[in-house]
Amino acid sequence: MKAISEFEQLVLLAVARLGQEAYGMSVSHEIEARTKKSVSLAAVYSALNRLESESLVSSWTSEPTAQRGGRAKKHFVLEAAGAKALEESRSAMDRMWEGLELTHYLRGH
Amino acid sequence: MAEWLLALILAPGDREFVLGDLADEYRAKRTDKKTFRVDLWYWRHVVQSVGPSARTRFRIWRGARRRFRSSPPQRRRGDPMNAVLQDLRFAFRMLRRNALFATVTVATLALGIGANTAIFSVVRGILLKPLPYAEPDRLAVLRIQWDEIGISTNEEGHSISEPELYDVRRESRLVDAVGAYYNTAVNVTGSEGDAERVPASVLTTDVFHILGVDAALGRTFTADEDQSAAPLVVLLGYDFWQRRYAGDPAILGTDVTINGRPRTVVGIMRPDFRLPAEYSGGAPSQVWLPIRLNEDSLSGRGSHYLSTVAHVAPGATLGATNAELRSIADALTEQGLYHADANIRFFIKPMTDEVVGDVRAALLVLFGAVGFVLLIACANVANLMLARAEGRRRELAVRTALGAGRGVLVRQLLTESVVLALAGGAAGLLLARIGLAALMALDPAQVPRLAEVTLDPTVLVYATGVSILTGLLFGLVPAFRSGRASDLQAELKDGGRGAAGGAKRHRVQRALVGTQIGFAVLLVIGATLSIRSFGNLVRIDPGFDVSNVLTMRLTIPGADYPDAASIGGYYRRLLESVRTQPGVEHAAAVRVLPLAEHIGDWSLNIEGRTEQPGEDFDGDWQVVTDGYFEVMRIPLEEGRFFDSRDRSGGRPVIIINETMANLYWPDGALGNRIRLGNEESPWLEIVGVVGDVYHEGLGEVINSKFYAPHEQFAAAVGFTSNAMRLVVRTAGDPVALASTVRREVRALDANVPVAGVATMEDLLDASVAEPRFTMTLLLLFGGVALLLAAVGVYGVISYSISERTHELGLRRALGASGGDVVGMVVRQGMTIAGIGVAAGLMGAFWLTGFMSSILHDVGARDPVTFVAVPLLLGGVAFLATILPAKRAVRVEPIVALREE
Repeated sequence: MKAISEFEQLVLLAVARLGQEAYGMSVSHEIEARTKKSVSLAAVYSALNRLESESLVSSWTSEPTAQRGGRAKKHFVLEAAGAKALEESRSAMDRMWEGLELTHYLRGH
Repeated sequence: MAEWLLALILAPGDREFVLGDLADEYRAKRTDKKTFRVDLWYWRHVVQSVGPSARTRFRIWRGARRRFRSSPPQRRRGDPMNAVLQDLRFAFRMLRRNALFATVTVATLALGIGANTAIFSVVRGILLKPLPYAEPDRLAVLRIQWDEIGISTNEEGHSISEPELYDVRRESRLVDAVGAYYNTAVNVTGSEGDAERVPASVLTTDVFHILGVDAALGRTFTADEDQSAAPLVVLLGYDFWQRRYAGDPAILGTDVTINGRPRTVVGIMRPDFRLPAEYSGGAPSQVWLPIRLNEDSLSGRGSHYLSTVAHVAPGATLGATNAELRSIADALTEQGLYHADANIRFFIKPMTDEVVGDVRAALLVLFGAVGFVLLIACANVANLMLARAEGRRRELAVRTALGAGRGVLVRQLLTESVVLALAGGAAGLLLARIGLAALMALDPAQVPRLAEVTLDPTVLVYATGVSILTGLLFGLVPAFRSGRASDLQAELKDGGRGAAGGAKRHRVQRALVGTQIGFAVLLVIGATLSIRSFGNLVRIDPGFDVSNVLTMRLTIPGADYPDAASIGGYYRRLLESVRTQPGVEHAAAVRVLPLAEHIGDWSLNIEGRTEQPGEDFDGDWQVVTDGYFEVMRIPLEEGRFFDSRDRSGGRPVIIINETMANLYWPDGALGNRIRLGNEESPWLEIVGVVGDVYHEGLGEVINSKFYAPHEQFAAAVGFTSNAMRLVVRTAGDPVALASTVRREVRALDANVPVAGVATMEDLLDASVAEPRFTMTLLLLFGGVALLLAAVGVYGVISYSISERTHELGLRRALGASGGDVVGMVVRQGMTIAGIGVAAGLMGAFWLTGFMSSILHDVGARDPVTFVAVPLLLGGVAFLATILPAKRAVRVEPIVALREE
């Protein structure tokens, strides 16, 4: 399996947190709310599509509504492979952090 | 617009969902935030989408390519789509490698294209977009015109009178419908809110039908609702309905109190509905009432107060219609209804001309100006491209040697230009968006239809078209020059020394810089003329002192103050109490404020004189209380001002302005008498002559004018004015006293609404908003042009010096002093500048004629401007030359010689 980028991790985590309510705008809101960083909606979609092509998430489309200017909404759901990829990224990170102490470097900042 | 652009940017797979999400969110945000901020938020998303979408598209494209590659190889050269793609990819690579060049180019183009797009969207919104009526091309306004002493009274014509409306309706075949209306204001009272004064129009019931507009809710008036026996009805404006009645649809069919009388609401108009006359500024009507005309008892033929909307029959031309109208007027004159010398004539004017009016000239001048800015930007970029092409000669030569045809190279270079131009165009759109917001802030009300201006798809198509054209324009010269085969062979032989072909390139570069300077001269001259014109305009003494005067509009309800005595008493009591307030120096009331409201003229009789043929005794009519001249500080020329003697029952008196005194009584006006009404009304003795005051606008014609004392006006003409403007001279900041004065008004009678609180300085300011708008923009464009031209000169000179380091070093080694070298370089630069300035002057001489209609008291060929601007440009060019020249001299000759 290909490693997933940090941004893709953020997107996957947001999809996981949102459950049934995961779609482009809610995912970008979730990331913005938690990381305090602004993300582009198009970038979120771009990542979601990539993740979908690797079967880490799957999607379903709801009926178009007038409120959305007659456009459909695409919902995303985390797949088992996605959860696994997240777990792997996390344990890779954890292993890198294992026993590491950075206070020495941070002094003086 | 943003959505449309975004749809273009987004990769097809995501498009629907991203747009949907944003539409959803946009709606949610719209409810609680300001529209502009939400728009900005949306635009941020558009911009942020560019990168990721491009990557997504690239991934899709790469996927397709991979599949393509795995199929058997095909000959790709012949496939034009593929060639373009290849060129594009190559162009992007080249530009990324030279980011500084790309940035400068894109920024320059963004300025040019942005300014262009912003002005185009204004031109489109105001001049090109049809009016929001059903058949704008068939709509016109009907006017009347006549001569006095053989001269036509007013180019624009006059409003028409009630009998004339019926005449044209009856006689004209080519004008198949005419409606009429006038603007006023009404008091709205009732338990639902405070008493307020609301702009209103009174109209014939067919006006809505002629304009082809319908009510948003309910209906417009029916044909019989202007009969005097019909029930009282009213139409309300959307905004007013939302504000005062909370948008409650149940208001339909119920009664509201207008001017003290109940009227049934029959409909709500659309939010954007305006009558044609309401496009030229001021608050649009929010209340519409049917006019009550009775053909048997029409007002006088000379009472010209009706604005009109006319519908011209299908197939009728403007010329034919006006010829028919003329013959109708001639027939009326023959019947003895008009004096033959008056040469009275009806005419129509297309509705669009009426609405857009004098803004057209200013807009076209501005549109021309941004065109020149863009040309300068093009010349600048072309120069940059030429210089860069120099660095790529070897690359191009090698590619030629390897078999690339000239066409291939030219196409490649042009692709690069167009890519640059499109990037500049995209950035320009953003600039245009910001620029438009700034324009709106500059002047929201005075320019007709400005509020309708948006960056819509048409504007976008325009911007794209302009960008591509621009790319071709600035790319063409460098592309063809670089693609020339003979040069390239020389280049290979030369081994990159780069001396060959230089002279020709330098000529092209100098020509480009000369052109830039020429255009800059043109623009700066245009800007200077408009500054001088505006300066003249605001330096005009209005004839009164605008500082420290607070004004507001009052209308006392006719039901509570039914006669002249009670109206006069109200204003007298109000002024007495206002005058005693601390900080108030003096206070008075006046019928219409100068520089802010239309005044209108009034026929009069002069004692002991009869009108000669072609003569028409009249004057602008002003009604004032005592103290008015003191508050406004209008100088007394002769006689006296009004005082407490001039009340009803006192000796009937009048004051006139200097123009009237000189026109009718050159030997002294005091003591002469005039009459304003019919035979029964009293003669009014002239007791004072006061200085002239500009009323319709600074620099406009000053008509003869009389000032009647408010409390005697009813006796003089038969009615009085219950709507007056309060003018208060204050010791300090007038705004600080607004609430005090309001409080006094409320204390006297809470049913009297206060409206239009403004200082006289604000009103003066607003009266010159349109010329200020034009001047500000021309100034901006002139500045940009100057900057670009300076950069152009600087760039070319620096570049040519850097190329000639060797030569200059040699000259110095052979004994030329630093001064000689600087002189040589400066001479070279100034020759280019001189030729450019001369060309620009010639162009300006020819083109500024188009500006004369928007200039005030400055000739379009104003000698001061035509001398000062070339000097300024020369100075700028000199600075742009001397800086690189000085730097060249600082290099040690030996270093320069060593450089190969």
